[in-house]
Amino acid sequence: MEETLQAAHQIAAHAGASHAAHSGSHELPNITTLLSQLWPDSLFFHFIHQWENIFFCTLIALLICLTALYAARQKSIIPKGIQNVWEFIVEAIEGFVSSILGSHGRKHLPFLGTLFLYILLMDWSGLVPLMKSPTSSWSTTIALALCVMVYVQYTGIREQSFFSYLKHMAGNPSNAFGLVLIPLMLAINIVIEWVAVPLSLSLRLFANISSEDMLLFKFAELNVMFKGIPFLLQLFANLLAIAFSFVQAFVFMLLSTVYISQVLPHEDHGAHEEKELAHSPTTINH
Amino acid sequence: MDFFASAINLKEVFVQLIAFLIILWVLKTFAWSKILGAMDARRERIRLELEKIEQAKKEVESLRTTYEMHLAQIEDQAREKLQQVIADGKRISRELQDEARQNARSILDKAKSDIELEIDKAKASLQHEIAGLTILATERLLQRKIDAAKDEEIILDIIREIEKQK
Repeated sequence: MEETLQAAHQIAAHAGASHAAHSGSHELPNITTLLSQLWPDSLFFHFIHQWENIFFCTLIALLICLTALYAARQKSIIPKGIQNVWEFIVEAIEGFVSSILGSHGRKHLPFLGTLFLYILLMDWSGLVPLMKSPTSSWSTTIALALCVMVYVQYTGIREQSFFSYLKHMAGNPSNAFGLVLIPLMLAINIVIEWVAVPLSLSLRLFANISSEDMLLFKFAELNVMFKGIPFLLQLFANLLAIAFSFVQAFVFMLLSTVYISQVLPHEDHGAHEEKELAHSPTTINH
Repeated sequence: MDFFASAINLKEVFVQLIAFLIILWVLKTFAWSKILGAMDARRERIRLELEKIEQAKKEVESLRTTYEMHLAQIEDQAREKLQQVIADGKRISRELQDEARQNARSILDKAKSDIELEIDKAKASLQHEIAGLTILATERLLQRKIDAAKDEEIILDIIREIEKQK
């Protein structure tokens, strides 16, 4: 048994250990890992391997942009192919976002839709052989979370005016007690909205996707060790990863939408459904 | 802090930020607005087409009502004309019958008058013959010659008296 385990570790080491040593995680080898191993003296492959997250992000960004531009150029009344897929995606996301933000939904749709698609494809790219999920890196997710945080605060200032935004950050004081609490509320709100929000968003996505990738790597290891016997388990893990990746991208978009809805002027949240959804993020956050 | 330092690559974070902003700008400028615009245009077109269909349906319904009304009017007119034709036919038939009856009556009357005339003629002829025979018979009985005109007159008077008595 120990000999088998040693053999498995050796194979795993050949497959992805060098990359694991680089990134500090256990993931399946990707194309940049293999190229840098095949041509260890090539500076180009070494550079790509070093910036593999950026490399895969660029591929995904190109894929999204090219298909979106192609779909946008199509003028067919009866959509088909890529145009149909894009219109389905746009309609679905618009419906969801508008159900929370109401009439403001369409204004924030490009940001939220792009965020969702970008994260979803980055999550799923880890399931494609020789590719990697850039969202399994905290650097990627913290960058996206910072974008969300800046966008939310900018939206708050733009929609409420700067004074109302400051009042909101100070806890909306309405009496002397509220005025006394301004420093405390200001500190709490700054910590929550500027630090906790990006941290929670980025850590949730990063932890989920990196653990999914690690799980897939471990199942691959088991398959090598036991000559494909646990293949069905790996297949099941892949299916789970597809579903969970979608859920993670959706949750990221949902929370971003809710953060935006919280900074919108309150009279815009008239609908009962919107009120309910506006309260739901608190539960999710906790 | 060591964990953060080892897990986060600031250069990578910066590049990821730029990459996301670029993809956001590209999609917002060239894709989202155009796709949404195309969908809105299609939605508007479908709405207009549906409105047109509804309008056409209403027009068809209105035309059908008008057509049915016209059809009913035509049927009424046809019925009226038919009844008028039937009435005319009956009237003509009645007139023809009256005319025929009148003709028949006149023919009958004429025939009657002709017959009466013939009867009268026959009677007169018979009276003359009877008178002649009577004279002849009387002559023979009396064996004497009487004035013929006077005899005939006397006999005719006798016959008329006999007829009156009858």
